[in-house]
Amino acid sequence: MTNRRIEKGVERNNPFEIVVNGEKIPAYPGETIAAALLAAGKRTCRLTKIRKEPRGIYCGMGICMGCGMVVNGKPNTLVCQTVATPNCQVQTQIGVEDWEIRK
Amino acid sequence: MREVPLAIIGGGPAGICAAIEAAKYGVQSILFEESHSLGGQIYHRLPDSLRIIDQRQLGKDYVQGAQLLAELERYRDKFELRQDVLVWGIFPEKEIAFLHNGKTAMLKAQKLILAEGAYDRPMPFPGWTLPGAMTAGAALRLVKAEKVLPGERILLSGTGPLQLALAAWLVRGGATVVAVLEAGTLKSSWQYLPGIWGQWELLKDGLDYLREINRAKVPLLRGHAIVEAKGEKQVQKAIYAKVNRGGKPIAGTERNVEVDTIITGYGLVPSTRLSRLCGCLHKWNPYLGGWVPCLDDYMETTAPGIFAAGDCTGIEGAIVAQEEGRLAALRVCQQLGLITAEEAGRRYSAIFHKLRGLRKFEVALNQLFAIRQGWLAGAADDVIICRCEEVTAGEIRKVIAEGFTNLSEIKNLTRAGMGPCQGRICEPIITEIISLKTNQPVAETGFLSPRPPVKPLPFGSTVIYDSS
Repeated sequence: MTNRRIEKGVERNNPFEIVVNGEKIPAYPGETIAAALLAAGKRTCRLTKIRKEPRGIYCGMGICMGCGMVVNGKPNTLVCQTVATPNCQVQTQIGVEDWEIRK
Repeated sequence: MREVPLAIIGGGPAGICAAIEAAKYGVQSILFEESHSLGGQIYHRLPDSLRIIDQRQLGKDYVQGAQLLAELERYRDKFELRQDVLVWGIFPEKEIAFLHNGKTAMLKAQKLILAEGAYDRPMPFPGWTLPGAMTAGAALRLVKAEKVLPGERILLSGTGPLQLALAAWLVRGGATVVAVLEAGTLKSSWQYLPGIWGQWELLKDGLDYLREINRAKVPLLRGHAIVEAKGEKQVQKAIYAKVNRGGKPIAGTERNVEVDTIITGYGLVPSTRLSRLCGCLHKWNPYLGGWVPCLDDYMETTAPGIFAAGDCTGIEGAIVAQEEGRLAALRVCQQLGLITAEEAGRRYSAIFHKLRGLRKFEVALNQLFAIRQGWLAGAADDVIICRCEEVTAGEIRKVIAEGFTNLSEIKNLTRAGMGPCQGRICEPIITEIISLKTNQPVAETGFLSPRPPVKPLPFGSTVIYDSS
């Protein structure tokens, strides 16, 4: 996979790590969790409640609720609206309102 | 309960300009913004830790946004800014409930300006729920404000000039844009020339984008659209085809392409959750993007003292939004007696003059790239329409066939629109499905009336703890 962060003409501060389902991936200061996930090629945010289908970033502006994940234990966190913090724990969520973490 | 003269909801171009004008004439306002920074969808700020060396990576909108925010900054001590705050309810007497840090507070405003903005019109097709299929707005935000590409091999499908802008941004960022599919055929586009004539600066922007994607040899296919997305756990393939005016694929023209990302850009839908909640009268106007609040010349809704400005009153772009925000705030100032009728009149006529040309241009564009009947309503029965509750087009058509043609009835019977997005995504689609199936104009199908909270709140957060 090629680098999905645009580097030409852009400078960033040093990255830190966030933990996605136990796996460490880099994130840059100020970046949303969604951007860090997509840059790492990780696209599934949650599984739907009934069909258990994967869903990812769709509207990107916090209205479709498709990117709700469990962040630091808090379910339904919209990762497209949430800025990554060092070592934040991000987990795939099943369902939306009645939530459980994917084992 | 605390009282303020003016509350402005939404910190995009319209809300920012409203705050500026209110501050100029000494009206104390409070500006609510749901996200952590001002600017709205178009004037995204970049995080401080991201520095842009190449100005082309900033773009024209960024520069315009920076100028506007600098103007607002000059009045910083004359208004109250509440960022990261969700306004989740507006109650009678203009009482506003808002959420910050998991707690709800309330205040009462004498006047209210709603600047809710707009969102991407959803376009359903088989596979549109797969990760890797997203809206143009989501992709633009990623590439402009985060400097991250949504994927590597990308197919764009939609209508209108925003697609060209997005394609240019993606190419600039190093992605491969496999094709840009324009669902419209642009036949008889000369009809719209009078509206476009004279707005050279705006036209030039479009031509610049077109030139950029031509240079990158990105095919722009008119009369084509996405038919299906395929993939196991994410988008891996796309099928697109030539389509007729109703959006139906023409047999034998299908093409298969390997892509990891499909981006749909079928224009925008005005956000009208709060104006609906306030009981304002709305009308259906396809060339403004759908349901919009009925307004007088000064942006006042049918609910006295409640104004609306910007794309939530019709999709007319950021420049119009700014003028509308100023207009609404000036009217508020006049109603509160802080500006003379003479001064107000002078300002109004300057704004009306600007708006006339700009609105003509935007409406001509919206007509040129109008959503045709059948585009949204054409999804096969097994396609999911309500992404939250996983309700298919077939389930919706079944209850319509049983005689339930009202959005609320369909919601109760199928659960479509009952999920956490509260119908924002599925309502524009279901509306078109009803209209096509029952042959009644969309204006007759009505809309879902929201109830507070307009967005799901964390458990326990509706407890009102103070009134600051």
